[in-house]
Amino acid sequence: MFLNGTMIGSRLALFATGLTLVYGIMLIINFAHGEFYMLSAFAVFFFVEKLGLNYFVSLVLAMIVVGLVAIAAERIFFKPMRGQHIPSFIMSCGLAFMFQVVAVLAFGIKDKSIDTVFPGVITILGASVSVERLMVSLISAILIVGFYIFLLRSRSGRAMRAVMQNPEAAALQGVSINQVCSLGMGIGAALAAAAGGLLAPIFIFNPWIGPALTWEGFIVVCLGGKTSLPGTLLAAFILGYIKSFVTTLVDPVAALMCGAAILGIILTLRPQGLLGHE
Amino acid sequence: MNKNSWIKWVGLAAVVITLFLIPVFIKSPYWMGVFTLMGVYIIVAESFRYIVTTGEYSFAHVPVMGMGGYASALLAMKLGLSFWLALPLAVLATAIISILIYYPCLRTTGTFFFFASFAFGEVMRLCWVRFTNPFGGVGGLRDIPRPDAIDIPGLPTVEFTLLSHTSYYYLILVFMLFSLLVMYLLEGSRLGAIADAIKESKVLASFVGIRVWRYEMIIFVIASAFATLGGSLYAHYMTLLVPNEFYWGLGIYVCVWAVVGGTGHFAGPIVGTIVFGLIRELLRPFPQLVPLIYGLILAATLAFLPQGLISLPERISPWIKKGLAKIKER
Repeated sequence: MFLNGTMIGSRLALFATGLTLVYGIMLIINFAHGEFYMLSAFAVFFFVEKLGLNYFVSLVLAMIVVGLVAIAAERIFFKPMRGQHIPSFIMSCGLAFMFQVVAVLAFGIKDKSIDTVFPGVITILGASVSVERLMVSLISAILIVGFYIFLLRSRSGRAMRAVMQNPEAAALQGVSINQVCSLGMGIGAALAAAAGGLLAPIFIFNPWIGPALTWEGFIVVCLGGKTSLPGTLLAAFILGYIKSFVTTLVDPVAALMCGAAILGIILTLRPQGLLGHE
Repeated sequence: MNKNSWIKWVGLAAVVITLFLIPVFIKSPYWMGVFTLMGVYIIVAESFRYIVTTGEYSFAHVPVMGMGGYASALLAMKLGLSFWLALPLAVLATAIISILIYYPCLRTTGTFFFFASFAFGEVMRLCWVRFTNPFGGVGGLRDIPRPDAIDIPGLPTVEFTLLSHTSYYYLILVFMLFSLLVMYLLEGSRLGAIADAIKESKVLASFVGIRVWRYEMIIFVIASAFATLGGSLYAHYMTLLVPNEFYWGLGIYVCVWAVVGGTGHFAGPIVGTIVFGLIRELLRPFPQLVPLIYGLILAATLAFLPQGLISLPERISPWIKKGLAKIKER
């Protein structure tokens, strides 16, 4: 149960980091973020089952493909929408519709799944633990740490943080906003794609899994404090544990209710989120 | 009365008369069903726009509509009330529930109002899924009674059974025109001016002595009442209510209809609902393509017509004038 929470939390962390990044850089609400997750699951499915590639190669390929799709989408659809919340939301809804149709046409409407990559169960401290869930949490952690190192150390990462703090000042310092926006969108989508690829062997997927996950991502982003990346991580794990525990102890519908109630309560009582500031 | 407004009134009267005459020409029950549902959705989309006149976008609107449906269906089924009594009671009950929903939401503004209203609407929707006893769980409510027949002595009895498509169309048409009229008058009244002021700037509005909170609440409750009306008509028309009908799917659609139609103009949501409804019907043979077409229209509208489809004639007319001038030159 605890490990389940960790796994759900790390999936949400990977997923919502991209959402926070895009919101922080471009001030748009990207409802199509869940579709990147969905597309990546299908991409991994395609590479593994149809082309017979190795799972890890497929995962990396899926991240690259989805990242490129996201950059193209950013260039075509989101560029005129920067800074406008509701229009960008509607635009991304349209984008989500289109991605869903693409997935339906390409892969059909049936539920799909991929064979497990890490079979078996190991025993840690007397508790039996499935290797798969452990590995997913581990790989997610590596990816998130890698992303943080990129954000803190590399030049593009610094540019990204500068734009999140103050776009105009960043532009005055010679940061290309357009480049940063594309990069942010691409990396955000690639992280969502990583989540999709990693979770594809565990959960079944179909073309309509995106929006429900996007809403969860919004809960995490609002709980963590909108533009605060550490807050997003914290919130993702809090929500992951709450969901896991409530699902096991009560029922799944109550878990969904908890998530929505948390969103409502945090927005009305502490609008800046857990780690955000005004 | 100047010439322009005269033309407008005649046009409006023509549209209303056409709407009343539709059942004379179209006999197919299928198309009558399509138009009937479109009437319900126009009520909902227009009341959604009424919320938008204050500058806030509410995602709780569709769950509130569903609550209206559930309220009147439960009143009719558990207490055996007639539809004509259950409808006003449901509107009243849901108005009170909408106060409970919007009370916390009003602490936030803008995008976060949008998310907060989504959260509270979703909690309410999940209540219908979770509490099987009154709400029927995932399977929802079945066999909701149709409205009782209107039996006025001297006139033929009007029945609303499952086979009487035309009478239900007229019922919804009357309610739709009534709601549109009320909302139109409200928008032209002092309340509409106040909504405008709040939309421009809440702070400035409060400086000139407008109680922003109170007026926003009044507007939200009125809009919710109309959504409830739509939901109740929907429930008794479909005779079946499922919680998933009021998922964010419909919420997004209502938002899309209103925004793509154009929230700046009263007729915007009506145009949006009709255009998207007709697209859906015309593409009935290819259901999987419908969202793609929706997405393309939506993207094109937002990119080229930020004011919505309703601003299309305005945007095109200079081009047409230019074209006409060129032809004259020749």
